[in-house]
Amino acid sequence: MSATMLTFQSNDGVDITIARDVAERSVLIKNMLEDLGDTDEAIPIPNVNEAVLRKVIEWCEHHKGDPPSTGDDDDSRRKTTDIDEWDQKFMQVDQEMLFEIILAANYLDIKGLLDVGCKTVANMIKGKSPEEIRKTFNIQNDFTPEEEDQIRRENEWAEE
Amino acid sequence: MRLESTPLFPSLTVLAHHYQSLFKPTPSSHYLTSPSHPLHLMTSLNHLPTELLLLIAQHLTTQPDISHLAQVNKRHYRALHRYLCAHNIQHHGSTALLWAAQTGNLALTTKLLAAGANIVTWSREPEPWTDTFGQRYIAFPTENPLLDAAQRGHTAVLRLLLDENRPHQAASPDQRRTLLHWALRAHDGELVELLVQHHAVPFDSRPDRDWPSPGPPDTWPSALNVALEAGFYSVVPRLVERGANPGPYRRRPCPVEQAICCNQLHLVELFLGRGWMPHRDYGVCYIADTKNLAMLRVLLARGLDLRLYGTGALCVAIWAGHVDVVTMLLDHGASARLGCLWETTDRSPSMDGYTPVGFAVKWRRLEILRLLLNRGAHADRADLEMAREQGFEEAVDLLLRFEDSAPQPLVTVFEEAGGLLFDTPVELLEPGLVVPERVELLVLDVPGGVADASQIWEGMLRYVLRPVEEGASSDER
Repeated sequence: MSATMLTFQSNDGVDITIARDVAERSVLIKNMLEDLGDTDEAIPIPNVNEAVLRKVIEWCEHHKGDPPSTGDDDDSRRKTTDIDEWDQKFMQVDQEMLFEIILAANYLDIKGLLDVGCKTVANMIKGKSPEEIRKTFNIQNDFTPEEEDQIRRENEWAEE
Repeated sequence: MRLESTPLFPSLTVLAHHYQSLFKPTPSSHYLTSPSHPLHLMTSLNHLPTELLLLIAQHLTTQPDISHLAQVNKRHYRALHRYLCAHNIQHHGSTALLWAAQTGNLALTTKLLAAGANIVTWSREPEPWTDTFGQRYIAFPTENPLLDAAQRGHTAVLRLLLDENRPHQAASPDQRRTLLHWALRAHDGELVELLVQHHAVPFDSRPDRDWPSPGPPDTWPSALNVALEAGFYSVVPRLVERGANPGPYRRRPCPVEQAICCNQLHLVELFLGRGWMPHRDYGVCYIADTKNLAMLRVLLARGLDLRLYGTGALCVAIWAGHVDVVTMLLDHGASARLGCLWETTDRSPSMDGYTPVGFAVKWRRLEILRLLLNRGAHADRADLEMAREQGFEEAVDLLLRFEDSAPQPLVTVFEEAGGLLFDTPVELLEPGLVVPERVELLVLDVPGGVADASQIWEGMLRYVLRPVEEGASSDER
């Protein structure tokens, strides 16, 4: 009989115990448990720190009843950038946390969370010029002015 | 709750790392390959692995958004520009390729073709259209990157586009045909040679109706039509050598007629040598008008049958007063008994039909009248009365002997042809046709009426002569 609770250990050494059905929102964890069987041991999550791991678990708790992802990379999913209200609130975090959540969701293979994270970033990009995007995300422009001008001209076709 | 940093169960740690590599096999992610993420390096958009940048870009729906994200810095550009191209191909009908062709951007053209761009670009999606027959879709014409590259002199891009032959990417026959026609009109022999030598270009005229339609399909030109219209005569033999031909009957003059009207004797000989005959008698009418006996001799030597082609020309020659042309036409089989319908310049309802004798009286061609009568042309009291009305005394003298000859009604042959006369070409008439010995009308229908002789053969719709079976009804229209 499978255990109902699992323990994760963050990369900063904190153990967090959660219900198995919540943990199994992560396809990585679900497959690992299916292949290796049950364990009472703490499962190390080497890439995720405590704060991010708790945030991820919070999302999984809220969405534990969601139908499982079909795994289809269909366009309709990508085209909509609507985010439900709870997720919007959930994503109201600083940029570092936002990108850490995206990385953790990618690593743990939690498609729903990864989507919400990417949609949130996409919404921050929409309608902005390259310079405004740089400012928003604090990105260094490594083009020379000549290169930048050339790149802009070569992509004029994409301005409609 | 903080536990020891040393894992209690090393075996699980190993397994977790195993899964890490198993389920996330893309080592491009520096994050995944460095489990202990350095805390001093703040995670930001710029530090996301390429696959996640792409995932974010896939949530952007417009080209400008994707493009602006790609232009943020070099890393973003490397990661996202290919996706921007693919997005254009999938969602915007490969319009980037059109732009690349217009600007001569070889690198972008190469990149787009590698990404699967279709040279049949489109920027307007089909739109639903509802009428009494139900709902249909209107397909709008596609653009032509080939033409854009050629017209702007971007030869390298043009060659790249022409070399593309993958299904769903290669240029359509319509696009190649348009390019060929442009090259012909531009007298660009080099491009024509490139096209006919290395690329499958259609020599025929467009077969399909387009939207919006550029006119009735049977007026669309073939390659030979275009070359002759453009006066690019030197290229014509090469086109013929590569398989160009007059094709089926069309409403516009055929290449043989065009070559006649352009006085290109050597081209007429070339065409006739291949067994091609004029589709209608425009060319022969032109010869009659311009008194081009050398051209007429070439046609006759190649077997032009004046029983079919000669009637309109005879009337034109009479009108123009060219006695020698009339003589030559009559000598070679043109019928002196078949008439033409003369339409007045204001297109009033009175369309007068005349036999050759009638024409000679009407246009006061005494010498020709004498010639016609000597050749046994039909004449009757109506011709005599017309000569009297016109005060054409010499003609009255010649026609007096027909005082007792009742006017023979002029009959047209429209009904017998089932309405197909307007479009029935000479070439479709039965072979071995014998024109009946009776007065009939060949109708010259000149839009806007006849103002001078040249309009007789130029731009007119001709009702083609068709024989009437003996005893068949032949009412005037």
